[in-house]
Amino acid sequence: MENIFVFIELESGAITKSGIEVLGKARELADKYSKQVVGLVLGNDFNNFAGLLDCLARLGADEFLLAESDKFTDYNSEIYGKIICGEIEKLKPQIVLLGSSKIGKELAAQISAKFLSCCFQDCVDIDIEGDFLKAKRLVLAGKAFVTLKSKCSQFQVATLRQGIFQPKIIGKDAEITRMDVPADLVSRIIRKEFTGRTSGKVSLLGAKIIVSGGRGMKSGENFKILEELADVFGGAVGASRGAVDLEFRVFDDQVGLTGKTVSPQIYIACGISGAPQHLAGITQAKFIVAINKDSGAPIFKAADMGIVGDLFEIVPLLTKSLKNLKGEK
Amino acid sequence: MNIIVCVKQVPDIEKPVKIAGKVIDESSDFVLNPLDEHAIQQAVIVKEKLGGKIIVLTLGPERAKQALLRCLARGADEAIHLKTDNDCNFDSTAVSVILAEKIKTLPFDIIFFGGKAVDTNSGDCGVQVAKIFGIPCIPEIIKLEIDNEKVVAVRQVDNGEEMVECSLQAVFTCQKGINELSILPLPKIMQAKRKPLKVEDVCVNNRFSEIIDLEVLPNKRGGLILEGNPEEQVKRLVEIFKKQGILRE
Repeated sequence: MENIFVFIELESGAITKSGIEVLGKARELADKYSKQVVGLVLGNDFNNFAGLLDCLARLGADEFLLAESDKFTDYNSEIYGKIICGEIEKLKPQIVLLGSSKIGKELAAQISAKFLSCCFQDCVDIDIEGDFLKAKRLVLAGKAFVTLKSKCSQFQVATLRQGIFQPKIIGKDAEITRMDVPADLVSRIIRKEFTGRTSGKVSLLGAKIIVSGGRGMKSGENFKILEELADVFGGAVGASRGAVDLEFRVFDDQVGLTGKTVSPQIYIACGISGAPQHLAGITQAKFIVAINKDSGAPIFKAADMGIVGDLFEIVPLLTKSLKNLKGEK
Repeated sequence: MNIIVCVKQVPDIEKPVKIAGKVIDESSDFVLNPLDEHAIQQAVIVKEKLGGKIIVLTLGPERAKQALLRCLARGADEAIHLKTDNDCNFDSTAVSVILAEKIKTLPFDIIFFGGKAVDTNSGDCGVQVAKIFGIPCIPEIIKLEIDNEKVVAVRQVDNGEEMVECSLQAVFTCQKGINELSILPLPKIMQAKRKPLKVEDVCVNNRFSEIIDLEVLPNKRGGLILEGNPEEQVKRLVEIFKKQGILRE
């Protein structure tokens, strides 16, 4: 039986939401086309994360490979790439799936170069036709969809966009195997320093609700009202390039062509005029709300719903009424 | 320091996208990929500090020459145009294999790429070329300090920023913020035409994927503007959110 190989990314010892979604999709394909799902997890000190293994076991894989080493505490592209490519070489899977985080994408590119196969990044849909992977991706700055079909029957690589695929819980526990990890893992890349994300507590990728601000926010401090609104939903705060250029927010928060491409259920654009570069990042939002003073702003044409008005009045009102509504329940 | 910069010509995404069948309409406007502009600029910064030579490389049809001329104007010393008659826009592995074959014949310490191309939105080629050569790749860097022995780079990762050290040879892909782009003065644009630009015909034989369909997204948004005073507008919006089922969780 052909294998679907899934790499599961951990974050602080927990399985990522994206990892759960990728496993769900892998299971769906495996059931449909009678294939096996083999998952690989790299981490350190699994015993310290009680519940992780029980949780993993039911997310859709038939088998899990656990690789444990202190070398896996922080991501290192060379070390991770070496271990993953090594396992893929042994298993010779038909398909390799990863989440479309920066790590997932980098590993996918490595795998495709190593085994000379297709590399479909950030897919919004995938399927198998015959022996070949078919994938749909957003291209041309979010203005078009391309559907691609692999020409290789093995090692076909794809990363799946966050927040699109459904997780699955299965009744059967996956078999968990601990892998032997080589002791001499070295890399020419050495991490010297790490600065964690400071602004915006919730990650933009995978967030269900995103509240974004632009130049119209006038200052970085004013983003506080957007954070309060986002908090009501447990959402994330983003920014336009204009706001980032004015240093209201850090680049990591930037939504748009050079920043992040997001796909929330609701995107609330506050004081954002709607330059094509920004719109390119939000085409996959299910519902877009625009709040802007300027009724001629292009954002209103790209939004499902618009409020022409003062965001400093509208946003706190919205936060308040949503809070009241939550209080009633 | 021998520096190679790999660039790509892409459709100008500020203009409406035109598609002919399964590919970009050739009557579209094409530009040097914005992040590749930062890649070439970074190569110039490194050369100014350490000396050396910059070779810029592209794979693409006849028109891609314009992208190379722009890089020569920015400060590249030589350009190589791997000319194709057909487009392989969405097959990153195919492109990387051809680029690597050419790079193999050139001396290099560093290879720069743009973080990703605006048309394919993948960012694969830098990582793939590095893997083919078995050398380190640091993608999406926003800072680079370099001397003859080692390199310190800051890259964006999913949950923050990471500062890493690595040895050369290596590949770096450049993210916005790594440098400021100066305006190109006309004399430099004129001089670029006199710099060496070699054209080599290549055939993309080895394909790893094919395009089944390419469709422009319709703009389906309603663009409805809510009436009333702020209280009424917010009330209406909250009702819509309720309908969307967002507030149930």
